[in-house]
Amino acid sequence: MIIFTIGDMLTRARRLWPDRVFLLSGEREVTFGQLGEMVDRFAGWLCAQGIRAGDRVGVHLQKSPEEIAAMLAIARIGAVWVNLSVHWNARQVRDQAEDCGMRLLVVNPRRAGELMKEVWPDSLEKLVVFGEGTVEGDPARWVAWADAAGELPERPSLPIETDLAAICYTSGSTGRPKGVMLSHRNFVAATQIVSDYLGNTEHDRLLSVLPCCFNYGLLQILTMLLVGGSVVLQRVTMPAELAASLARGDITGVAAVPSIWTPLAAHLAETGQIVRGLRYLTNAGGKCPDAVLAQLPGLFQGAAIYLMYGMTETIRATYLDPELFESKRGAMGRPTINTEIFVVDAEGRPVPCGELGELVQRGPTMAMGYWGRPDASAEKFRPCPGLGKTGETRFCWSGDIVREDADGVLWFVGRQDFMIKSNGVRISPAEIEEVVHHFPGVVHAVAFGAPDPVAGQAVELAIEAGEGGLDLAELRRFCRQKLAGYLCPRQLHLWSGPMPKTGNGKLDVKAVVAALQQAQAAQ
Amino acid sequence: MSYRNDIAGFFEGELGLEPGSYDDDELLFSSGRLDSFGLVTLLAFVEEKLGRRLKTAETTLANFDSITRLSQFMAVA
Repeated sequence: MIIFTIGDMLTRARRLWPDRVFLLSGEREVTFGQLGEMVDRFAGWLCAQGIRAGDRVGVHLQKSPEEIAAMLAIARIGAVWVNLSVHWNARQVRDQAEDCGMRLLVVNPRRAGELMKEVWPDSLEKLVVFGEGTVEGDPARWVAWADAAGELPERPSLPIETDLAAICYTSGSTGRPKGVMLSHRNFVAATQIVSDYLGNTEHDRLLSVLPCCFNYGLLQILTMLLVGGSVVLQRVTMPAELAASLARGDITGVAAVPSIWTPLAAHLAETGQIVRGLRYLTNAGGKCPDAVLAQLPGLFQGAAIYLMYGMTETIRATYLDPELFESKRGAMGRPTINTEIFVVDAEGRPVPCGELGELVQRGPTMAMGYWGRPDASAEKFRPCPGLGKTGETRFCWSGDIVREDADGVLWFVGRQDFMIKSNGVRISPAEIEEVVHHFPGVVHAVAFGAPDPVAGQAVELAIEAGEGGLDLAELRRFCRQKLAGYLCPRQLHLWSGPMPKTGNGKLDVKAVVAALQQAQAAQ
Repeated sequence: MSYRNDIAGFFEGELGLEPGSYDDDELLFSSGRLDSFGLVTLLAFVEEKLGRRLKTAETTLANFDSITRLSQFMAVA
């Protein structure tokens, strides 16, 4: 059977391995067949609700078989899933839902209550509620997951590979998150590419630690769906809990980000635990500190280590062959198969080997654009004029500055703009600054990334206060209230005197950050 | 010494739990009510109260997942 869409992957899996366990969640085991039934039930209900191809349906649940079933059901009928991180607060969920005109949303009881009480998204018709707890709100506005069951029509309308499968919200360099539009083709190609270089087979059992709102996390589910392997759903990332899961002995692969590897490595070293039996582990979402990378081979005996790089807009771009881990430790690696990458200057001309340039990528994993943002899409996805004929087609301009060495291996140098990468998540300073500006007394606010051994970068905030001054403790509480946890600055700096400006009168962000970094280094 | 009230005060003041919206035995991390960022802030608070660094082996659901568990852990830690 040829795989064109995500639905095809599930159809084939159910046909070939109906009774094979696919998802393990606590004591619970779900086979491909059982997942297929959950998917059909929810898909049938969606059809009965009048959900048509292209309609957006949100999923905002903790890691669970139901989260996965919901996404696959939405994709099955050609609708578009929008998986919203559980880190978003209710206000952000409402904003994202309104941004994409979401019609239905699957949530837990607490979030359902919050949405019904104050922040109901305009386009939303109903909530589907899954999880423990009572729902407080108008019963006409929600239905329980168990009741959201129906029969699919005999010949349901199915998507084709070029259709939109999902919108994935990610931060851009100005303000509000943008919805990256990913097609079935994008996901299928990425799944095939990744499972190929990782050597995934039906004998793989992966530990799923990363959320499915993150493409990187979703790939663990999709690769195992493609090859007939299995996934242990790990909701809690406390290092002691992860170590316990690895001690089960049946896990063959783990994908994580630096903010998970660093504490996990520390924990294993502290407790003298060595993990055996792991076939491979992967890192993406940021550069892992070299001190941590150096420990990994000793702590995970026999495991192949894959360092990888990608962006939401292209799912995956490069990986470092495990054989090169020692000699090229810390590199991004080389482009994957079926993907083309160049390192170019501002005009799109390839830079000489060894020089700095922006990474541009083209290939079947490249997103269709940003939902509702034609200008931002045209800016991000555009031809590369310096590449001649090849450059006439659409490329994704990553905004990452890299360098290629003599062996064709790419190394990350820095970001083009001021984006912060913390715990594998892209954060726009503007998102934080816009909120902080609502606090009385704030004249200027600069959010920036300070080096952090665990997170890669941690969010910090510099404030220029007005004449009345400013209560930092109050501001800190304000941030906790208004911003999702991961956006809260870990340190606030009150800038004395006026902040420096550039020639055209704009805030000289670079100078502010440099001054603070110098002060930090001096301490 | 019971840390229960300090812990509850911290959860309400710093982690956004509304007073009256939770009970002491409710599982907070494994249910997803508090996320990994809440955990990092909580660890700093616990270390400050205990006057020492926590070992990663102590950071488990058994010790941290509810107010009751955390108070019991801190009482003997």
